[in-house]
Amino acid sequence: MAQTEFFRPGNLAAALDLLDQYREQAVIVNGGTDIVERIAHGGVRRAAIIYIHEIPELRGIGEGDGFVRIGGAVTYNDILASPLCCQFTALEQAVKEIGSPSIRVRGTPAGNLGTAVPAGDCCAAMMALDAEVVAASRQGERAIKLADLIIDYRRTALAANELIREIRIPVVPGGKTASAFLRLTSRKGQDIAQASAAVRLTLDGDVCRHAVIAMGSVSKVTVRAYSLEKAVAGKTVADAAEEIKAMVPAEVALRAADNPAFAARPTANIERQYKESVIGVIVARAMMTAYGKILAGEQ
Amino acid sequence: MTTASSAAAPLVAGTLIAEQASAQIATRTHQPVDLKLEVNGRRHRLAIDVRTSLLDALREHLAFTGTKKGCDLGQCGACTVLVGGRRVLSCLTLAVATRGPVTTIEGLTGSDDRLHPMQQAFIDHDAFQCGYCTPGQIMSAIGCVTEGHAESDADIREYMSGNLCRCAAYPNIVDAIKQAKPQMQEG
Ligand SMILES: Cc1cc2nc3c(=O)[nH]c(=O)nc-3n(C[C@H](O)[C@H](O)[C@H](O)COP(=O)(O)OP(=O)(O)OC[C@H]3O[C@@H](n4cnc5c(N)ncnc54)[C@H](O)[C@@H]3O)c2cc1C
Ligand code: FES
Ligand code: FES
Repeated sequence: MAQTEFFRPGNLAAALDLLDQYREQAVIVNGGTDIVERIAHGGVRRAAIIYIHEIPELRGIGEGDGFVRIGGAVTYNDILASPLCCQFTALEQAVKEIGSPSIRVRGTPAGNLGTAVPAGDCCAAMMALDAEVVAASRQGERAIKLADLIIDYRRTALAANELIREIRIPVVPGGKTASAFLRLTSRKGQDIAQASAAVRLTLDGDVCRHAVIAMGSVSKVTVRAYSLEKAVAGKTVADAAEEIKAMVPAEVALRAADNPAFAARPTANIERQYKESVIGVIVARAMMTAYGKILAGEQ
Repeated sequence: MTTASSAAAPLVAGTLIAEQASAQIATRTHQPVDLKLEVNGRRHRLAIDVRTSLLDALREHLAFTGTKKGCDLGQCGACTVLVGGRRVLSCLTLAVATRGPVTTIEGLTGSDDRLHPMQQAFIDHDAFQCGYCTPGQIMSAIGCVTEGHAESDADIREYMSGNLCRCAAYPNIVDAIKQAKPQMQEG
């Protein structure tokens, strides 16, 4: 078996040089809560392990150009300790749910996006918050919207020589807009979502002017619920919530044709029915929470 | 050990001895790497595959079998150790990425053989049955106190929620932490 080498680049430029050199032969390790187990058990075998978790340039949280900027190695605990990040209720609520304190001390939102599984709680929260990532390589940088980043089950649009340098969340003027995240799990702690929803709601009086809705665990990727967004626009929040409770959004894709991995499970049919019957309620509740935040005057 | 200026240059094989890698240079470690790891106050040298978890390094290479392997997936907390005084899941940590001295359950007892207040509190409160989860519980419990999360029962339960106990000693574990907390803060 080919050799695996371990690199601990001291800064971003060095990390990008290594990625450029090794490309598909490299694996990035950040907090390691997803990938270390796969490396240690042989599921992922690459020539180079590039450990980026301690790179100072990736550890910052800041604000600028209308965005809150979260570095590519910022941890969940860093997020929870940051008022700047916690102004986004959906993000705060998603992060609080993730794993346990032992996971949150190491795990990172960038790693959550990098893993790109449909149960990724940050994927849903970030998508509803209309976030984008700044992908950096030796050749330069580009911004990628969340919906364009996650392209398939465990697949992102990042090139082999790119890493997520930062995640940017647009700051929407307060008063009329708020967000929320909600997930349904079998157990209270240390479990992944059976279904999750993140909503960013903008009101016009009592009417939904605009809602961005993302759903987790109902397709092979995190999805925007455009059908629900359309259904709620222009309605009062109460009417909208009532209506979407009963809906199975068109973006829910849990049939064999959409997701072979899902279909292989013996319980797939029951799981599908369950998810289909709860997702509307989860979205409606997340929307009501966001509504409550607006009424309470929070962002 | 060699140094060069390109990003891919080998710099330091170990991790503990590596200061913050300098601005221009990346740290590279060959396989099997010559790793220096400080465990329980003693420096150890070991030759390991860079893909080895800290848990396997401790158990398989250094025979610190007090640290338990439950799930090997980050879900149970049995493998919890302290690195630089902070609580870490050793199964989700690459041994080569470890910085700072490691403390395992074996390192808690002083040279006079007196138990750590947290170990004593676990005994006093019957905070275990089979004992398999206990080393991890105790290391997490120490982190819970030193990291300032033992202010209330709810606080303790939340911080300890990554440590599972099939024997369900949970209430007694909370009591043990409450007993040990003031003793740890005194001494
Ligand atoms: C016990 C347990 C419970 C968990 N519970 C939850 C949960 O409730 N909800 C949830 O969503 N997740 C959960 N997770 C999954 C995991 O913690 C998260 O997905 C975490 O965010 C991963 O971040 P990390 O920094 O540890 O990533 P790593 O494991 O270091 O990396 C994950 C992937 O992303 C890539 N990557 C990491 N950083 C970057 C970057 N900056 N640029 C490009 N690629 C990058 C890596 O190459 C790898 O492919 C749980 C995991 C465990 C072990
Ligand atoms: S063995 Fe590490 S958490 Fe279970
Ligand atoms: S004492 Fe048996 S698992 Fe905790």
